[in-house]
Amino acid sequence: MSGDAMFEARELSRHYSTGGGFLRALDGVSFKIFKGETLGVVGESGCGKTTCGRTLIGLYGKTGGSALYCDADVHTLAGEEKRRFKKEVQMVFQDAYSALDPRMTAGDIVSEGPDIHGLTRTRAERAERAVRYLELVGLGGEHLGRYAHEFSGGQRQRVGIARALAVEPQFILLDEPISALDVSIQAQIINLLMDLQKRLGLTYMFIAHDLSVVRLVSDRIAVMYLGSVVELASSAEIYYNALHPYTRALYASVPIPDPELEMRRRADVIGDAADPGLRPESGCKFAPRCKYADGVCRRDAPPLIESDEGHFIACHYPIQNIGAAPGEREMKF
Amino acid sequence: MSDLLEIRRLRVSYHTMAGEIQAVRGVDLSVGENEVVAVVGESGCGKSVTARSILRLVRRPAGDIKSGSEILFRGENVLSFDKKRLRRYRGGECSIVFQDPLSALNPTMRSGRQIEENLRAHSGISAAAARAEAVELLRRVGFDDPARRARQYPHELSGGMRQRVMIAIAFSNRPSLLIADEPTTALDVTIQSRVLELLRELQVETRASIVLITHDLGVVAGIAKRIYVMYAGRIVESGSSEDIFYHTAHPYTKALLASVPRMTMQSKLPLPYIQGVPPELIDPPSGCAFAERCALCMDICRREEPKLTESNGRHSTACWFETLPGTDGGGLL
Ligand SMILES: Nc1ncnc2c1ncn2[C@@H]1O[C@H](COP(=O)(O)OP(=O)(O)OP(=O)(O)O)[C@@H](O)[C@H]1O
Ligand SMILES: Nc1ncnc2c1ncn2[C@@H]1O[C@H](COP(=O)(O)OP(=O)(O)OP(=O)(O)O)[C@@H](O)[C@H]1O
Ligand SMILES: [Mg+2]
Ligand SMILES: [Mg+2]
Repeated sequence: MSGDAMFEARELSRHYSTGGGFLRALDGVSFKIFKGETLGVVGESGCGKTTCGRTLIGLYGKTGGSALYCDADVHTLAGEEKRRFKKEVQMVFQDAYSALDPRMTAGDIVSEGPDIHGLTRTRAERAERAVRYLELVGLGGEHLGRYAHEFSGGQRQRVGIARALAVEPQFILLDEPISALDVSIQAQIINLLMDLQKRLGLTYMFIAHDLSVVRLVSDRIAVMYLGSVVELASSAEIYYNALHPYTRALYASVPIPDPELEMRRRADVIGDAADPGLRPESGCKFAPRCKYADGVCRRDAPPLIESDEGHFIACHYPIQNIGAAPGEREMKF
Repeated sequence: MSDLLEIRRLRVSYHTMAGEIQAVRGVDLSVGENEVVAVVGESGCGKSVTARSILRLVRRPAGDIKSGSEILFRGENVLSFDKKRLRRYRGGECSIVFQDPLSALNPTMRSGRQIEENLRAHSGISAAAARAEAVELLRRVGFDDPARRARQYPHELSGGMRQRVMIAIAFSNRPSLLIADEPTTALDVTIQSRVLELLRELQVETRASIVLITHDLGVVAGIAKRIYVMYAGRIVESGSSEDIFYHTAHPYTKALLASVPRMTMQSKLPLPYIQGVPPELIDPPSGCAFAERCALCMDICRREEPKLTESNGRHSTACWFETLPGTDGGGLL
């Protein structure tokens, strides 16, 4: 993959002022999202995934750096360009329940975008379009008049996806689209998203906390820790050749649906990222939880560098390549 | 060994505008002393209603535990406990941890105080002793600075920390039975992994029995000795963890297992999932509830309900294909 960056973050930052000072929710991240790919973003709760996605698409203001969409700065778009951007870039939220207005029918929800963008002229056209998109996500036209609260969790998430698709976007920010669903419905939604991507040539940014899911849908994965990208590489590289101790810890914490393997899985015990005591003022942010950290780590923050072609890492002591990811694979010996 | 908890023919309905929802339709379930038992199944299958019934938390008049149901705790029927006996049972002998700790905790009370109240409700200890004990419990569930945490309110803690406070409350009176209803579903993977580890440790230490409820078979693999698989208000398969994972009998259990995302799956390929949706519980089908979604469905499956049949020790399944002579199933081995 090369050249064709759809989105680019350059040292993008967003800080919040809090009681005592400010919180660097997004702390100078740089990455690209190429046309037609899925960039997965993983990390624990509170590491800044949502902030990253929303700042990238201009939904949140930035406090530093820049976010580019097809080389144009998303935070200064205006006029026709801004209108086009709003049509081409869509979003699906984690909590489909609160994201959909319970007093609107599925038909109204799906038609809202096309109405705004003037994509339909007559009522018949409007209804026809809504049915088409509901069918695209596997909901029959009979759902057109049903209210959001009458749908199950999985169905609601489909309505949310249909809404995003109905304006014919190029890019969709998927912010934990499946975390609130149970396993079987998760699989259906993932399959649907992958299928739509193939058919419509969509580009995705897929946010989740669970590496096992992100790995299955993504071409490349960015691992975030406290506002920074600490590792970024292809899905396969992240799986076979993760270099950052934090990425390894994320792997090791995925439970395995097999009692014998699961009994032997021992997650690295690492503290709670949300604990303010574990947000150091200097050095590598992961150092307080890292078993390999030394004085260098506590003094100097490691920059994100390209260690191998397309494999970026921010760590003073990357884990040596042992040719296998921890967790399930390692225990197969 | 007589069982600590024995549920017999539990039936629970909810009366709604649309009609009577038969949430639990005849569940038999037992938990031995010092045993960890899991209940797994898709959203809406009746797991939480079963959990709430064990503590008699089903609210009348909408909720209705049908006559003929029995919940025996050390041989005594919980459903006929008087107020005083129920007070001793709830929070003393038997306690519960919910999925969403924020709504289960009192937002206006410091976390330490909530533990103290529960301690004092069930024993005659002094205020000072309760305070010391609360701090000790917070240390036990993994806080490095328990005295400070005891003074914090729930909203000042992260999701994982709140769940640990809930667990401290649940274990404060050394219950014989702990019901954990999706204790990790709202948490991200690294924290989930540590909460499970904590439950495992506390179980060994206090010799409490645990009923662990979840939709994720990965979560139960390392902790449950026996597993009940629930579908549309009934148990469709039960057995040792080994039976369920390695000698899976019911087609539903097989489908559920196949839909857990695994680290070993290839990325960007469609995931297996269970076609269709569970039946409406207002008017449940007369035959096997899984028939419509089952690849092995035969005529009899639509006509007659298969009984939960024990074959191999304590491994039972409710499936015509497995129990009828002459089918390929032909027994559970
Ligand atoms: N409006 C705000 N004001 C102050 N702090 C905020 C605000 N929004 C987010 N934060 C903080 O910024 C950090 C990053 O939050 P963000 O929601 O981006 O994380 P996340 O990785 O998406 O987490 P989750 O997995 O829980 O959704 C957190 O510490 C959060 O508390
Ligand atoms: N208070 C209530 N009023 C009406 N119906 C209810 C109520 N509580 C539960 N139900 C219904 O009872 C059935 C079983 O619900 P239950 O909450 O036990 O499911 P569950 O297996 O715990 O699902 P989940 O995984 O989503 O938590 C569902 O059909 C649900 O809609
Ligand atoms: Mg988020
Ligand atoms: Mg439930």
